[in-house]
Amino acid sequence: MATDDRPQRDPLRALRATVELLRDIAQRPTGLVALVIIAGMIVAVTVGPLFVADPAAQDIPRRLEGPSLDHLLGTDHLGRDLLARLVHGARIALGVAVPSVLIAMVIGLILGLTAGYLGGRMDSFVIVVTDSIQAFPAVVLGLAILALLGPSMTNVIIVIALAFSPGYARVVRASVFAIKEDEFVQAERSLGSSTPRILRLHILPNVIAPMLILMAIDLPVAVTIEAGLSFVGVGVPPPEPSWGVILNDGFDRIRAAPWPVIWAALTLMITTLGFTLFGEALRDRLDPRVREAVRGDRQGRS
Amino acid sequence: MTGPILSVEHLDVTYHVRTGSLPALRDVNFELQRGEILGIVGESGCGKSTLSSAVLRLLPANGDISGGRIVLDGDDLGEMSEAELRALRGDRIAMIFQDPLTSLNPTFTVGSQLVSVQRAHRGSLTSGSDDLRERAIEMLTSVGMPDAHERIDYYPHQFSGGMRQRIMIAMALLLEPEVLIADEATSALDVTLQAQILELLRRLRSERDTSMLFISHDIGVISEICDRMVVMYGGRAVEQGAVRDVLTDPKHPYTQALLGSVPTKERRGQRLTTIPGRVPSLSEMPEGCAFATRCSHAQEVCRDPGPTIVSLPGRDVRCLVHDPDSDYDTTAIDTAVDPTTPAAETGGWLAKRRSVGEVLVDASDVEVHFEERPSLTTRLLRRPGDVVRAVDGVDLNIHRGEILGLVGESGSGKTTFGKALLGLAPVTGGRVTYDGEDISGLDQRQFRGMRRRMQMIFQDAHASLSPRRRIGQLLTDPYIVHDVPHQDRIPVPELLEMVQLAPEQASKYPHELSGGQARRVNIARALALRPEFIVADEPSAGLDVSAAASVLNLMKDLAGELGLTYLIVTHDLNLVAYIADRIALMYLGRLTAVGPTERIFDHPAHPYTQGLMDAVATPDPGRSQTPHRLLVPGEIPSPKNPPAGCRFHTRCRFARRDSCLEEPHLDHVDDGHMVACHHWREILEDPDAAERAASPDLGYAAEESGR
Repeated sequence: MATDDRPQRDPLRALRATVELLRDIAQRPTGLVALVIIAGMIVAVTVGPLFVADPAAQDIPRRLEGPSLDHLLGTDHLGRDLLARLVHGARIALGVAVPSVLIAMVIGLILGLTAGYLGGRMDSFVIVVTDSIQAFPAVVLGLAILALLGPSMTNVIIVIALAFSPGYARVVRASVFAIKEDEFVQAERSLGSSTPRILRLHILPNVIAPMLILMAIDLPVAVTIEAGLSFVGVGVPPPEPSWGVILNDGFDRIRAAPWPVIWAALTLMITTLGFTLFGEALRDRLDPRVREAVRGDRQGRS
Repeated sequence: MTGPILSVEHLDVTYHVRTGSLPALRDVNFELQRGEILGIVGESGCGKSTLSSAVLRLLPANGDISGGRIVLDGDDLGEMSEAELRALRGDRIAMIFQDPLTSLNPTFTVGSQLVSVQRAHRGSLTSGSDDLRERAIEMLTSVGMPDAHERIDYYPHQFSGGMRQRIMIAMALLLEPEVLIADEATSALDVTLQAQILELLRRLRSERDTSMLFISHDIGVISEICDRMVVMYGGRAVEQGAVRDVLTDPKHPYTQALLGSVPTKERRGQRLTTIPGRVPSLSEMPEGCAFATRCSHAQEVCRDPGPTIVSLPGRDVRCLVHDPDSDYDTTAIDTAVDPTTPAAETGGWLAKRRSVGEVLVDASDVEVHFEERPSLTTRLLRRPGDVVRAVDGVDLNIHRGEILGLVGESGSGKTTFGKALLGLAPVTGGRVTYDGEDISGLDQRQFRGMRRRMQMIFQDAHASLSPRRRIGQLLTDPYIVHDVPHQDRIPVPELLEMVQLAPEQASKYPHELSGGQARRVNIARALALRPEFIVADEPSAGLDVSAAASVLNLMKDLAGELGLTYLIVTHDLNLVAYIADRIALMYLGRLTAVGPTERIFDHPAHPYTQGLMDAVATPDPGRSQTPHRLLVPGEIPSPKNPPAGCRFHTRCRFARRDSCLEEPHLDHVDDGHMVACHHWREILEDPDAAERAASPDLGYAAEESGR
């Protein structure tokens, strides 16, 4: 009998919904561009390193060369293969951006849910904290903290997560404020549901969409912040092929050999563009107002 | 100048969507005579609103008029250019919408909006803005706005809902339109206000001879104000005729069913007629009679393409039953299921309900005060913040097994009181006992145990279901929350069956259900824990009449089968007259009258009760068209600052300075009927004398002279 109580679960439902979502996004030209770029990034991060040279192998005699068959994008000031360094750099870029955004989301979610649902003093406290953090520009905040902690990949992740979490807290808090006034929350209370249960089952699912959108928008920003911090030397330390490090190395010798700067800047630009376009497409698809309009159109009733 | 002012001739409207063309209106044919009020009635999805936008040529971009004509006083609207149409809208045809708050621009004063409407249409002839303003003031005064010359410079938000609706009407009438379209113009208003607005429209019609198209889902309102009515179903006009004729002798099975599904006092103890199924969506509209799928008289021939209009004396009906030339076999009509005479209740429902037991819920002097969060300046000046006295001292017993109706206008605190009983609103004073146990002091955690015994059905059927959970999950949630062992649970299919839903619904999400289905899920959820006591907040709100009727039938059946006790919170006097054993009337946080339903209706001793009963719109051919006396003028005051003494005195026609400024207490009239009024004896004996004794500077009398 117990099994009867549960509605039939469709194991492929989530997958199917994702496929449908991606198909919708691919229907707009910008969305298609975004998907292609992100697919490229995923390939570079997963299997890319198998196809390129060792990013640390130095070949001093062939330093600062332009593109050739041996080195498709040329070499840097130590004769290292630029393509290999950029592909490995993608791992660092995403290896910093993805965890930092995820951490920011979790922190923001916890703060936003408690502030939004409990309100009152807790809410005021969270607002003061998030406002204080947001008052500093992210890069300046990062510079200050990294100057204290010292440059390392972990520290960069901590800094970016810290800078981003207020955004999530605010988005979640605003959604919770709106949702908790909805009648179904009161209906759940009248049923006897506990606060944690209401938060988990009835409020959380309704704040996921705006958070996903914010994540997609934050990812490229995180990539540029990492590159920026590494560029000025407080981010990921030099032997690692971070895009910021490549830029920095290339910048010193830009008159002799512009290639490292050109390739690194182009990579950074395309990556940022891809994620930004994806974020926008996702926002348009998930925004309840847009979706509601589409649904109304489908029903076509007067 | 004798022909109809507006004639809609065989109108077809089609919506074009990705999947093809959807016929929204088919062969709609009617005439609006000069000075006539023509009602258009039907359930949602029947094409009422499409019709009104078609008449204004304001169809959405994917809709067009695919056949027929709309002729306004000799001019074919179909041949007009966009510029001509713009000049026509607002000038020759004007519209009043349902929601006056969103239809007025909040950033301009009422006066400037009224002036700019005139300027837009009469720009070249403008005689100066002073004249336009003068005319606007005149118009506002004629729709019943006191101090119009002063209030014309107010912004829309500074007016109450009723006044905003009056402003909308003034704006519509400003240019003396030939046709006024009122689309659900009173649906969002309380009964007392609705009666005032209907009275105003009726007066304006007789003064100005304006022709009106009055669109409403509420057959009661239609019967109150209209001369003739058109019943719409599935994009077709299925019946039209004089209101009185249609009400006394409906010919079309749909009209019959619609009338049979309205709850009224006369139908007490009877089952309401329900129409099985729902209005077919536009994409699945049958070729033949649109109603055939739900009609108890349907025969095979009804599915053949299009029944045509049959003209009977004074009546047009689109039904084969009345067409002598058709193949319809009239001898086969089963008179036993004639929907005009609803079957008497089987199993003696009313008798069963009479076995009312001991007191289950005992509210004594219950107060619910909400403190508004004071603004910074208020806090700095250390002044106390505003207190909203939503419920302000209510004594009420609810007996085991009874259905108690709690009635009042919006803002009377009735819903808050219902929630306070269930611990969903803070009880700030007095006490509530449930089955002998004091529950007013319990905190949320302590209350959880009680929740298995008492449940609430919320007003908005869709909004009260968590949107991202399936129906099956929603129905098992109560058991998980209360850790009910599996053997004690009612399986989901059984719960769905209890509320007459198919088991397949379990896998759906709330937004995939119709309003009636969602309401049933709410009821099933409330019943899952086998409670004894249910608070139902506006159980028929937002539902079409036939859906509401089946929900009411269901609630009544369940009350009998499961021995439930209900508190039904509603503004709808017809509803409680039909279903409730006892009625309590609430006004500004206080009870004004309590008593058995018959006693309240037969001897309404409190002036407020009398006023509500006078204002309610009922599709009763004997009663309709007699003008309302508008016994309760104005609007309910704010519960932040209720009037001193008897709270009703500001709207009471019997208010006296010597007594009514003191608080009345509930006084026993007879047989369980109590009223809170100092003068109920005089009012019952000789209302005219009591009215003459009223102080001229208080209440109703003051309102009258202020006009």
